[in-house]
Amino acid sequence: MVAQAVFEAVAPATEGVERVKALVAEVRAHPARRGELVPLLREESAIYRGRSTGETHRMRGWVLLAFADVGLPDDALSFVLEELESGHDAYAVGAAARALRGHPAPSPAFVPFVERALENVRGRDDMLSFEEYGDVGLPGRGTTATRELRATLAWLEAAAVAQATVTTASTAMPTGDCCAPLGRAPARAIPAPRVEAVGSLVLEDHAGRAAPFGEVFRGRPSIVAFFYTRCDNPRKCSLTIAKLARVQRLLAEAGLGGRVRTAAITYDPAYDSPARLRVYAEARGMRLDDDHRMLRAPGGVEPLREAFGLQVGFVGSLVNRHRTELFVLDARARPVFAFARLEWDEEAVVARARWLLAPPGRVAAALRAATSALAGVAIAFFPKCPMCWAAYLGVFGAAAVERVPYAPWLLPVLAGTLLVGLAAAWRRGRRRGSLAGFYLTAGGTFAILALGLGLGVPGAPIAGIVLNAAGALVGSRRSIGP
Amino acid sequence: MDAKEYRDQVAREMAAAKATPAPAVPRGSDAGIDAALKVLADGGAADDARIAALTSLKAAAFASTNLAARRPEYLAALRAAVDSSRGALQHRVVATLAREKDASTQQRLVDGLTDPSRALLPPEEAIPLIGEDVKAGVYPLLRAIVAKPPNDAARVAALRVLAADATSKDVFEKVLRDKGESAEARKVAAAALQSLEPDAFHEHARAMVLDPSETEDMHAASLSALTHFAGDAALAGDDELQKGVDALHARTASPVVKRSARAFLDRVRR
Repeated sequence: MVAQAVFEAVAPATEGVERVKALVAEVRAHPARRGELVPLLREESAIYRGRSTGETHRMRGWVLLAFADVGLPDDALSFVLEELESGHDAYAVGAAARALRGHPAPSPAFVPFVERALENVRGRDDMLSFEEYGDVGLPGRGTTATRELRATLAWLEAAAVAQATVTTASTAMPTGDCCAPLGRAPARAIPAPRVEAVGSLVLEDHAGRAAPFGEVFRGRPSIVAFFYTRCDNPRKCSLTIAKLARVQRLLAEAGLGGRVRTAAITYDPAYDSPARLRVYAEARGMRLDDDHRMLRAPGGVEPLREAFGLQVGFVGSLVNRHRTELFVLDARARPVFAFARLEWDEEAVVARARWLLAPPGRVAAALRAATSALAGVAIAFFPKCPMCWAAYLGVFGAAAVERVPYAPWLLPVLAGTLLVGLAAAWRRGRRRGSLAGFYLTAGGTFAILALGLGLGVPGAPIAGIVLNAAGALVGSRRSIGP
Repeated sequence: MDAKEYRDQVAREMAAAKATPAPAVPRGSDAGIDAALKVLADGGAADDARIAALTSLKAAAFASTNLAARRPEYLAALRAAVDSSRGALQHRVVATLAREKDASTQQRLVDGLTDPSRALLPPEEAIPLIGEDVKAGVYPLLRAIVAKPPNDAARVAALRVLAADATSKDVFEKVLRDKGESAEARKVAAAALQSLEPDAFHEHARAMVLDPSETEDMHAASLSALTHFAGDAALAGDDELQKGVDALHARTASPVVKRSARAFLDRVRR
C-alpha cells in the first residue's frame, strides 16, 4: 500500500483553494473589492500551479460565480466571454453564464457567445450545485450549464425588450479589447516586446532541425500561435492549428506565402516530439517547410512564457489550462500584435502581417495620425476672443496691440472648425471601437462654445482647449495599422 | 485481465443482455432513456437488469442524440449507482464515470489507493481508471506506487498510465535495464520509452538485442521496435548490430524471436 506520508507529499495542497474561497467570501461581503478577483482568472496565477484541470475549472468557476452577485466588471468580461465561446467544462460554463447576468449593461452582442456555449456543452453538461464550493448537483436540486445559459438568454431578451425604447448606447457592447464580436478577437498592439531574452533560445522543428529563436524568426514577419497536441478542447488548439492552415492558404492566395512565416509552438515540449508535431499539423492541413514550422523548445517553455506573456498553467509538465493566443512578429522577431483569449479571425491576422510588410502604408498611416493630432491641437489653440488675439500677437512680438482689429467673423469659423473636428473624432472613434477621444473632444467643444463664448464662464475656454488637445491625442493614438 | 478472461466476460454480458426482456419502449427514445435511468439508479433492482440498463444508455450515446441533452441525469444516475452496487456492476459504473472524467469519482479512486478501506475497486483496477484523465495531476502518486506498489499488477498498471508522462522517462529506463523486473513491467517500460523518447529507446533496444543473456521476450520486443520504428540513419552501417541479429537468428530456439530477427534483417538488407 502507498504510505499516507507519500500521498500527502504528492497531493496538491488545499491552501490555494481555501484562499480563493476566503477571498470570494470577502468580496461577496464587500462588493466594492470585486476587482481583487479579476487577477485570479488569469491562467498564470499561482493558485492554479500543480492543480488538475478539473480543479482549475472549479476554482475559476467559483470566482466567476461571485461576479453574478457583486456585479461583473468590464475587465472580467473577456474571461466570461472566453468561457462561453470556447469553454467545455459544464461547471465553468454554467458559472460564466451566471456571471454574465451580473453585467450592468446586457448587450445583444452577448447573445452569440451564449448560443455558442449552448453548442459547446451539448453532450458535456452535468448536474451542478453552486451553493457550496465542491458541491455535486443532485436531481431536483441545483442546476445545469444548459439551464444557466437559457436563463442568461432570457435575461438578455428581457433586457433587450426593456431597452428597446432607450438609447442604443446603453445596449452597445462595452468598448475595449474585452468585447469583440464572436470569433473576431481584436488585435492588441504590444508596446514593449520583451523577446531579446529568447533570441538565443533553441527551438526544434517538426523535422528535428534545431535553431535559435532569433534565427528562425528574423528577416520576415511571422505569425506565431501557441498550442499543444494533448489539448482536449476542440475549440482551442485543434482549431488554432486548422485556422493557421487557413492563414497559410490566405497568404498564398495573396502571393505572400514566401514573405510571411507561420509557426506554432507547443506548450508541452517534453511530450510533443517532432514526429507528433508533424502528424498533428498535417492532420489539420498545415503546410510544413522551412518557412512554415511546428516548433518546440526542448529546454522548456518558461522563457517563451516570460517573453510573450503567455497565459498558461501547468500540472506537472502538462497544461491544466491556457487561453487562445497568437502573435504577429515583425522582421526583427519582436511580437507587435497579439490576438488573445477570444477566437481570432484569419483575415484579420493576415491583414496585420500584410501591414508589417508594407512600410509606405505605415508611413502614410503615421502621417494621418500625426495630421489628425495636429489638427486637434490647432483647433485647441485657435484664438477665440479679442484677448486671445492680443495675447498671441504679444507673444509673437507684435507692436501696437490696441490697433489689432478683432474679427468677429472668425467666431463662426471657429465654431465650424470645432464641429468638423468633433465629427472627425466621432468617425475615428466608431472605426476604432473606442469613443474616448470623441467624448473628450465633445467636452472641449462644449466648454469653449457653450460655457466660454456663450455663458462667459471664466476658465472654460482654457479647460476646453485642454480637453480638445487631449481628445485629439487620444483619438489618434493606436490608429496606426489596419 | 488477459484476452481470454475479457472474451469470457463479454460473452457472459451478452448472454445476460439477451436474457433480459426487451424494453417496452424503444431504446434511445426519451421514454427509453427515462426507463433505463430509473433502473440504473434503483439499488433494489437486479444487477443484470441494471447492467442491461447501463448498456442500453451507452448504446444510446451513439445511436441517439437524445442522451446528449440528458447527460446531467445520466451522470446523476451513475453517481447514485456507485454506492448501491457491487462487483461487476460497480466496476462498470465507476469505469463509465471515470471515462466521463467525473471529479468526485476520480477523487474516490485516488482516496482508495491511500486508504484501502475506502476503495471502490482493487488498486490494479482503480489505477487504469484514474489514468482516464491525464490532467488529473496524479502522476506523482503513480510514481510513488511504482516505487512502493501494493502488488505487482498495480505496479504494472501504474507504469501503463505513466507512459503518457514525459517526466517519467527515468522510471522507464530503470525498469527496462533491470533484468530482475517482470517481463510484463519491462515490456510496458519499453513501449512507454519508445513513445516518449524514441532515440533513447532505440539505444536500449540495440543493447538488449546484442545481450545474449536477455530474455526471448525482450529480444523479440526489441527487434520488433527496431524493425518498425528505428530510422534508416540509425540502422544504416551498423554492422555490429546486423551481425548480432544474424547470430541471434541462428542460435534462438524461439520461433517468435526467429521471425522478428528475419524481419529485421529483411529490412536492413532491402
